[in-house]
Amino acid sequence: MSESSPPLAKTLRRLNMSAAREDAVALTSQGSLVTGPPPVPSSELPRRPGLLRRQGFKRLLPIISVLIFLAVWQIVGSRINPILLATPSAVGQAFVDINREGLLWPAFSRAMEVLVVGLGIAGVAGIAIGVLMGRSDTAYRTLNPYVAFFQATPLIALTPLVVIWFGIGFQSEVAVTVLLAVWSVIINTSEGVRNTPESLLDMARIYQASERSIIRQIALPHAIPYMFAGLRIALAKGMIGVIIAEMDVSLKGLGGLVEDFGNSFQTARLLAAIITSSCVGVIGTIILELVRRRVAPWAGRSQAKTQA
Amino acid sequence: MKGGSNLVAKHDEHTVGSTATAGWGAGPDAGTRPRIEIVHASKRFRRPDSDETFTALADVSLSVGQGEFISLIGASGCGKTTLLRMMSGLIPSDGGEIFLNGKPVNGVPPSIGFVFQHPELLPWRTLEQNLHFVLKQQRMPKAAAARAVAEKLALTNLESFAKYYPQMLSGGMQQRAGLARALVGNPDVLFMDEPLSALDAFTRRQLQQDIADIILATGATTVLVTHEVDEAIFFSDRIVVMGTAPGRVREVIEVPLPRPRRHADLLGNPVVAALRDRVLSLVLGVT
Repeated sequence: MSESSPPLAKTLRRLNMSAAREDAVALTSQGSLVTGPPPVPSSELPRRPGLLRRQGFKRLLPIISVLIFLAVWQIVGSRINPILLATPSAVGQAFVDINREGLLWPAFSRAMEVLVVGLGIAGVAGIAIGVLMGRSDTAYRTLNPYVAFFQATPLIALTPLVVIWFGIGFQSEVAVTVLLAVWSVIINTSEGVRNTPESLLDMARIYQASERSIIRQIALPHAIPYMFAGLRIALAKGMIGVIIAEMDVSLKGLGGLVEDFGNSFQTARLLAAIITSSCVGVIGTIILELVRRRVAPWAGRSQAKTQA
Repeated sequence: MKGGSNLVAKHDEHTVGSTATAGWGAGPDAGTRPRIEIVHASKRFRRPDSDETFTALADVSLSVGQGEFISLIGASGCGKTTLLRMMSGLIPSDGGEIFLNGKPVNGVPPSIGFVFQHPELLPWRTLEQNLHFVLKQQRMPKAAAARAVAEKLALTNLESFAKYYPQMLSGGMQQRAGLARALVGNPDVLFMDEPLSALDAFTRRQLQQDIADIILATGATTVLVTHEVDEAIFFSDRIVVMGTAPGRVREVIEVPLPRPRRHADLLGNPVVAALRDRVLSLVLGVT
């Protein structure tokens, strides 16, 4: 494994490769229709000159798509009331302005902090409870009603209660984030542990493996892809928790900016703040993926394998 | 392909010398207590959605001598895998008793090895670490464990793949790693549950040869479940033919050929042909 190249670059390369493969298929079918050359092994195809241009085009397609979208938005946005919809250029200007006013970075880093701490707590607690529920039928039967109940409850409604418990500030926001995020980690981890192949457990029994050994060497590694799927869902839910908590509780951070700008009809700035919060979520997802590759290089990309 | 060429080479050797085979294999040791004794064992299972039970195994008695190789063969539903799992302690018997080294089997006994139908290697561990998993449970000191692992990887021709993850290897190599893991604790008894059924015909023959040699070298008593008549004949001192409804032992057939055997030597061998007919007719129930 070439550890030297950063994982992100690897993903990009892999994406390009699959795009090239699709291209190759399209080209063989076309080419054989027109000139009827003998079928070429697809591995040799990417070297053909016309293809490189097509491949380049496909690679640029996402950028082109976004540019067209922004252009349409700019044209439509400039014809209507800026309170209803700000133009992309106005949003860009708003970014520059709030950055200059020193509002952007503290808000961003605060949201990031709440998210990281909240998700960290939810991750550790969720995995621990999930493993317990996955390995012990008694624990599963005892705890499952609560997990099922809270997973289905719009827990954001508990925010006022959390404030009563923890007061206004960082702690409350972390608590709201944890409250929203922890359940999907628990559910996915316990599902992953419970799905450990019976045959691997037979193997463990044959060699007299201890429960500790079974958890650490078999059940936990097996559940890792499930855990990360749970963590990704938890991240999305936690992000909602962060923003709502900031909006409702402290009026600080990104949520605070959203609340402020929304109440004062500064639509361009409002959109800038919302886009920043998306960035927090995206960065979180990338960090999660990097961590997953670190701890579980054998597992494929984490996808939502069980319930949200 | 490798199996094919090997076969020819071995055959030449045989026609020239015919001295490769000597002695009558490691049959049951007279005088010592059998490794495994099954005394009137039976097993009942509950049908999925009712309280009714059905008899998977009825009154099986069998004993396996030290160093002996026996195969359990029979149509599906004859309880051969159930019997193997009972012998290895994975499931309890409902009646009768099973002894291993003179002690009643109650849970998985120490010092057994098991080769599963699929390799059941941990995908997140290298081959080496997969073998260490067994020795770690036995609390073997690290240096001794490392030596044992290296030795068994060499025995199964996998020493250059010690640091590979299982999924990087072919199916045949994975199954050899499964065998290496089964042997790494130097078990008295080796259980194998259709270990070669998922492999292609050539790999299977090659691996049969390898496994037979390795097992003979370790001297382990072996019980194999298979549904391949030729495989049973190739490996076994005795073949236990099982019948269905209820699962039971129909007949125990001796294989009067010395071990180790070569596939090439068995080609066109009239003893083998007669054995194959006998076993097949018993399995198919056309006696």
